[in-house]
Amino acid sequence: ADTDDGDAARLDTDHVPRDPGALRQIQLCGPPLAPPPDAVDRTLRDHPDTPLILDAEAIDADGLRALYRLRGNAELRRLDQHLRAEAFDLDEAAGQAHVPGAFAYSESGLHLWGTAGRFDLDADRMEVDGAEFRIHPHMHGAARQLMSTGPEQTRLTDLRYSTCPPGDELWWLHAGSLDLDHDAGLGEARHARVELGGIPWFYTPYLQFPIDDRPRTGVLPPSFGQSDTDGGYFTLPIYVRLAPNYDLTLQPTYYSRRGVLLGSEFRYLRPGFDGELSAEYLPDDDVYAEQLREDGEEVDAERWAVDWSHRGDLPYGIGYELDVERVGDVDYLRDFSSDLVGSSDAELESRALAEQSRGSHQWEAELQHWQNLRPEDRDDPYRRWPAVTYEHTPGLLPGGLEYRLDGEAVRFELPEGPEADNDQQRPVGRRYHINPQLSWPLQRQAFFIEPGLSLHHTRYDLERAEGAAGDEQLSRTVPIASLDAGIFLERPFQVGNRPFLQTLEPRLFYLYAPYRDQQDYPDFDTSERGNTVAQLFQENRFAGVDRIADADQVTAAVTTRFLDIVEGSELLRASVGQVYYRGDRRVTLDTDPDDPALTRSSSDIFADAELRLPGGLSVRGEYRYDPEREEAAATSLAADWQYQPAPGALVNLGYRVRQETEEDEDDELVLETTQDLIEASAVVPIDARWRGVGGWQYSRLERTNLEVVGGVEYRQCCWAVRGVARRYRRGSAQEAENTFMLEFELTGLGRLGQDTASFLEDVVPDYDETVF
Amino acid sequence: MEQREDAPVELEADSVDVDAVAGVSVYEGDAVLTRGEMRITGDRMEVYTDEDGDLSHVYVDGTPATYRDHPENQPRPVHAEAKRMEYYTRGPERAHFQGDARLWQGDDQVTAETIDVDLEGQIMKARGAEGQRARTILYPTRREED
Amino acid sequence: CGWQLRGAPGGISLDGQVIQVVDEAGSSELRREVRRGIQGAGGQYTEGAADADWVLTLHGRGSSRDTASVGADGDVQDYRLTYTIDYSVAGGDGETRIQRTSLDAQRTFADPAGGADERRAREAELEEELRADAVRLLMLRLQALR
Repeated sequence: ADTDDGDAARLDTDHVPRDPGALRQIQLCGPPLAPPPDAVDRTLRDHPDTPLILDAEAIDADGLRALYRLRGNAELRRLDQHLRAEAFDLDEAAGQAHVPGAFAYSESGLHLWGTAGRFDLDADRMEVDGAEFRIHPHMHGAARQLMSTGPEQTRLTDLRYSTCPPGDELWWLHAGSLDLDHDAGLGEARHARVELGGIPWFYTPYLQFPIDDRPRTGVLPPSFGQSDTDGGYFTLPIYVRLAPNYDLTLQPTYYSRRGVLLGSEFRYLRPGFDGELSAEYLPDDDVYAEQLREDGEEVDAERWAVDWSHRGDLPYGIGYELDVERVGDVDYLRDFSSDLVGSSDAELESRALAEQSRGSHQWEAELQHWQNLRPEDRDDPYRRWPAVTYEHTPGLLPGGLEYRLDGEAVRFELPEGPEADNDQQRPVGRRYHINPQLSWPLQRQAFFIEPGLSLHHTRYDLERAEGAAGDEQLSRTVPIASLDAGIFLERPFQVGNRPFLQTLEPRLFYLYAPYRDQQDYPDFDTSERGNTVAQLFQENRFAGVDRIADADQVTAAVTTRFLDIVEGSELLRASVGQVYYRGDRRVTLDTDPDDPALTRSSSDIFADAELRLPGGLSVRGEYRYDPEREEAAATSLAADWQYQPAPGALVNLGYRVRQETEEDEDDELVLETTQDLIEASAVVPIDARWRGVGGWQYSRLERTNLEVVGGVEYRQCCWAVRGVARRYRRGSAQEAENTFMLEFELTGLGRLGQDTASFLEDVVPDYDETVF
Repeated sequence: MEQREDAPVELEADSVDVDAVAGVSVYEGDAVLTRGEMRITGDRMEVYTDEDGDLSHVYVDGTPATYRDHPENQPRPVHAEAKRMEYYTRGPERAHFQGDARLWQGDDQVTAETIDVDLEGQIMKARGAEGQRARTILYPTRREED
Repeated sequence: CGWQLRGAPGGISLDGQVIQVVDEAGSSELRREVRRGIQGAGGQYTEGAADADWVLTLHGRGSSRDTASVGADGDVQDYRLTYTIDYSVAGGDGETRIQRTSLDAQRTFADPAGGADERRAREAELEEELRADAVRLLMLRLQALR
């Protein structure tokens, strides 16, 4: 009456997965080597209704001590557990099976063969000598000893391990010991040696890698590449896990022309703080040394970069943060960052910040410094050395009043000190600002009214004044009164049988602020506002406190929205607004005081709209119309469309255009296009093995390609090769640069393709979702 | 076991053929042998006695022959059946089941071609036949419950 | 022509339901914006636990800036500011109605001519706009819950 379920690696046809990633894995690797671990509920093994079935040509049983000796084609079966051997003994009371000779064992998630074994059925533990194993989905190998130290932990000693199809292993991991934690999805090998095509490749004392598809680092990518300026380069990262919460990655990169750059990344996680420190150092960069000699500068070709971010908590609820980002020289990012985005930063921020909030009081102290990477065409940004901000927001007071106080004290300093900024005489010194606000909001569904009072008191204590004759002590107080009111109208309508709602929201905003002379006040961080309707409802015409604008005006605007009530989402929002002045404006920001715009009776007309359609299309437009000149003063349009034609395929299209008014040679205001950009990127699965990737950024303004990327990935079951070619310009002065990057991935030992995959994620947004 | 020794043996059947000289009597037709808790049934029973007239051993054929006993040190009775069975009272007390043998106690059971049970030592030996292995089915957790 | 004041029947409204807001995000501006959002959507805002119809938990909020586009000169042209609210919604009986999820509003803005100095004030202003957008979307999700 014994039934035989065929040989061990039978395919469970009813386990064909639906999600594309797992489907592709089967196309590449064949059926899983063992049924999934969750194919059966393991807790049912001890269930009273679960029989323990023993078959053998001879069964001897000692009834008193429940000992069974099975001889001749002996077999044990309990739910998903299935043991077959020539002979074995079973101590049924203790649930221990002792197999003296060769055996085959399988359970959900695992197939196992051994030369001898001891199975503890109750505690789900086993000890096996001369083990050969196959673990779901595609892990297999052999070990001198295999011990499962619990339902989710397995320890192997003197083993070899691979995720390639059995008999077709491109790589083997040999290790002294390997601990597999199926719960955490992690494998930890010691004295690990990776063998590629039979050739030993690299040794590491400790190696951690994911054994499921949860994203986690493991063996990091060796990558090879070539670029016009760097020449050929080769990176071999070494990943060293020092302790559960410290890991260090060393990433030496050999450049044929530049020399050896040592990259390192140290991550730490402690109860009170955590952080990441990455540093790169290249002692002698020959290419850079040559450039310096051409520019006649003395030769110091040392290149380095530091990026450290640290967060922590102190007692009394104080949180602190430390971010340091510095490079040795202004060209570092352009020379060494692997993508356009990385090389485009013009300033690097370093900041130390502590903050605490106690009930309705909140304060923050900060030191901030910017490293200017474009000294030739940008002024050094001010340092905030230090800056203390305070906020008191008790929220609603009795009687519905709302009160809040913002305060700030900042010392603005120039990075290289006042003397060095090539006699621009930029002001340096301290600014104190305090702004209590009181309002009486009446918020109902159909309407809202909010009268408000606000006081801006600012005091400057300058070490160097604005301009030669400027005062060093300046102070001004500007009271502001405002009344904000609006009503909400809505109109339900149907599209097909789906309910929608359109809203109409007219809004009025009266603002009064007396004029205070601020003409020769310094301008540390204040600028004109953006071109959106919402900014028309701010109480200050400028963004920043160096200028508090005089105002006697009424802003009128109307907004309409199209809402999908079922989804709870906003499909379209459009607003239009304008300001009507009752008096001329006199406070300006470094524009000439008799600019005609200051005396006009109404502002430009602002309109902006945002469309978000379920099909992955989103469009945002801003339009500023100058009624005086009867033409547009500024426009911007950004459209993005993301489309997934098939599982694993992705197309992104983007268009960005912006026009701004500028003065041409004879000071005529003319509308000029300042940005006209097309972006396209795609991931195209050619077949189960091949996949094409492309990215293209084209500026129609300069009629030039900003970046063209082409990449192809060839993937086998347990390895993949990715080649990416890129053409981009590392800054306007230099002509376009071709780089090629080749990368090799041992799937199953951790995503080796870290660099290329992360780089491609910049080129093709959401790239990682389509990766195998 | 001692009580078993002096428990009276009762035998009944449709017909009986006694051969006092050879010490054999053959019971045929719904033969039943009881001895304390033990009960054996079959179509034909050969009962052998020793010199001083005590039961020595029994050969039983049945469709099937059945055996039942309730050892004192065990919570549940033992049952068995087979085409042919043999029961020996001494040396040690044991039973032999032959041909589609089946032995069960509570929910646990053994099926085999032959089953030999040493009733004193509580040792069981089951043997399969050509292409048909012996099988034991156990419900460990159930036994712990009762 | 079908226009009616918000709150009239047929529209979407929280119909006076009491919404308890549990603020783990620790931002007073966000709390103020959520309070106005709830009142504007026809609900009643409370921070106490007394008989709330819904419990909105603000787990966290954050704003992040990344490069949106790079100009021909290789420098950043547009930044993208993203304001994210991390929230979950449970019924008055504590049963989860919206698993913990996040909601974000985004705006791309041109890098101001004054660089880092002016960007700070520009971002603070944009963050206010994005916070209002995000809270409005949050209210829509609540209203769609009914």
